[in-house]
Amino acid sequence: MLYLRFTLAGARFGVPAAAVTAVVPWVALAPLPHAPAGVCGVLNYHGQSVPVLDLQQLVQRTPCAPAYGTRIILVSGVTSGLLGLLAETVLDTFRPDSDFIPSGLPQPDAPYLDGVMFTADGMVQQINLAGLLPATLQTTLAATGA
Amino acid sequence: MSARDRRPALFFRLLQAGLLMLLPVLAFWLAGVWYFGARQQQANTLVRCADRITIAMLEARRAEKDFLLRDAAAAEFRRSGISDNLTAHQRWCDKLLAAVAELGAQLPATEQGRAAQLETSVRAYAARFAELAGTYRTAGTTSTAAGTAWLQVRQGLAAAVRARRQPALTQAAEALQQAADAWRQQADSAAVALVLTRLAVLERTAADSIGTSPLAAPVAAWRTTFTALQETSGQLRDANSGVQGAMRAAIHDVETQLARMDEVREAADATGAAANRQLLLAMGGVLVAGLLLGVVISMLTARSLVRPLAALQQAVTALGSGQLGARAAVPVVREYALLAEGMNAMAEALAGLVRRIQRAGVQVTSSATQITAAARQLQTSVGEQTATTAQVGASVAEISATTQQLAGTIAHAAAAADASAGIAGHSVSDIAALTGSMRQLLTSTANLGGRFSLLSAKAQGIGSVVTTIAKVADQTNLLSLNAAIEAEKAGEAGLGFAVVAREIRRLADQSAIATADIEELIREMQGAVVGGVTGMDAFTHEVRVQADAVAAFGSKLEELIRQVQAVAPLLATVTASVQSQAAAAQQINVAMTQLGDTAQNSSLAATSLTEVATHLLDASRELQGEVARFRAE
Repeated sequence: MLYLRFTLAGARFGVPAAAVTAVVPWVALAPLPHAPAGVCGVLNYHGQSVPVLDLQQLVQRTPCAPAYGTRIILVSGVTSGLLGLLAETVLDTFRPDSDFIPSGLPQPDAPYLDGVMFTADGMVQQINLAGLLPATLQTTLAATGA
Repeated sequence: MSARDRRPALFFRLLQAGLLMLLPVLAFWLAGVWYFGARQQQANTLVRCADRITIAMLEARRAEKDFLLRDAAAAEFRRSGISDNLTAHQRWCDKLLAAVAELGAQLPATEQGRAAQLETSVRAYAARFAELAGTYRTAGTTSTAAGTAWLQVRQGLAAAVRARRQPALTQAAEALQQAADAWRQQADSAAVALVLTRLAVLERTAADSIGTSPLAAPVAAWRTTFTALQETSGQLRDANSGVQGAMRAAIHDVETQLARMDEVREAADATGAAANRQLLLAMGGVLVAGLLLGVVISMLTARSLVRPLAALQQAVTALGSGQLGARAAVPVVREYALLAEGMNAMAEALAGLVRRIQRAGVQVTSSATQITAAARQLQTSVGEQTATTAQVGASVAEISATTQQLAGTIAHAAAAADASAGIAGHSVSDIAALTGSMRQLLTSTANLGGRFSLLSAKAQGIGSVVTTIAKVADQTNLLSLNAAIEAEKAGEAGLGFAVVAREIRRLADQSAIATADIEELIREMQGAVVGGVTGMDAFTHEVRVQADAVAAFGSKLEELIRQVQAVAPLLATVTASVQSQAAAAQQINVAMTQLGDTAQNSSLAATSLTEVATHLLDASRELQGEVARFRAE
């Protein structure tokens, strides 16, 4: 399975490529006032308004650094439409031999962090798209967005 | 009544006593002198007569001897009968007789006969002498005649002998002549015998050699003449000796008489001496009596003189021992009264004097003490002065030395100023060159800055290009990523596409790496350029600053040169003033030396003053001690 690799807070993370629609550069986002924490704006993708989530904000409470590698990953299946995930060093894919295994440390505050994988380059953590958004945020996004 | 009015009894008393003592002595002395003088005169006369007699006798005898020695045998006397010695003898005999007559007059009557006898003897002597002289005369006359005849005979014999010319004869004749001459000298029997012997020899020789006839007559004549001569001389000699004997007898008689005269005189002297002794005894006795009288009188007089003196003596002793109040009672005798009054006045004056001396002594002692103290003070102050002078002299010497040093230093400074001016002059030109080169440097630096900015612009251009390339790489990467995702979604149909996408991604990554490197390089280059520019700016700023500093320095240097050049006259002024200071110091030194000498003199004077004051003090103390003996009332 092909995974897309990116960096958050200095650690490597990966999402399955099957869930990724496209990777777009970090363009200027339309700001969303009174947005919950982590939502940094709305992206216009081919006429669709896609909310963008800053993953680094979620994980580390710091925004992503502006760099060439900082791109928005458009994923589907989390909300009704697409969801943009802003992450750093979105530059490469990898096809690991094994699968994510549970980390052994359940984190009730961050349900999206629940898998690790050991590769030749080091440890890669999983972003569980399902647990990414809390229910409230999901509904809010559903209400506003798609 | 006062002393002057009293009688001068003392004087008269002394006169009286003196005269009383003196007169007998004087009288006796005069009498003695007269008597002894007469006696002495008499004795002198006697002695003189006796001496005259003796002298006359001696002279007569001398004349007689002279006559006998010289004139008796002299041909002159024999011829003329005149002789100086004869006349002298006659004169002396006359004197002798006169002296005898005088002596006879001096002698007393009992001794007159002796004088007459002496006179007779003297006359006899004179007569005998005249007789002797006469015999000599006749002897002389006869012997002259005889001698002439003999001479003729001798000459005849000699001629006869000579005529024969026989050496033996001549020799015998010479021998005979010699014997004849010897007989003439000393007509004694030996000489006669010799003559006769020689004559016999001559006869024999003549008989032996030439026969008897030619020489017989001369020889016989010679013999007879000689014999006659011998007889005549013998007769004369006898007559002479007879008369001489008589004369000697007369002389002996005279001398006997003279000796008797001496005896007589001595006897007279003895009696006279005895008489003198008696007289002396008498005189002595009277003299002693007179002396005793004189002693008694003088004792009485002395007592009368001394008694009043005792009181005076007491007063004087008291005065001498210090009791200035002692006074003598004024005695009656005028002289002593005068003395006593005088002594009292003197005591009074002495008392007053001693009182005044005591007062003065006290004052002198205090004054001397004060003088001594003042002299000591003077000594110390002079010593201080000397010390101070020495200090000042030392200070002046220091000043002189310092001034010398200063002059030397100033000379050095002047030389240094000149050197500095020279160096500064060089420096000014150097600085001008330096400023010029610095301005050149500035322009060069400006050029360099321009080139740097050019470089920077170029680098920026490269940077923009690289940025474009980076964007392209980024887009390419994005595209490959999306392609990979789509290929994954396509499944197996997209495998080739995935490979392509992977390759594209690799290319993009390489580009990105290259652009990153290029960016890095560009950043570095730009950093270097910026650094260079900054450095260049800083350098330019620095150079400008330095140029300004150099210009300022140059102007300062010119000012310095001006100052230094202005220094030289100042130094000259300073040198002049230093020299004048040195001269002044020298003058001070001289003045100090003089002052030192003056202080030395003052010190000596102070020392001598101290000594004098000490002496004065001692003398005043001594005076006070002496005066303390006197107890003035």
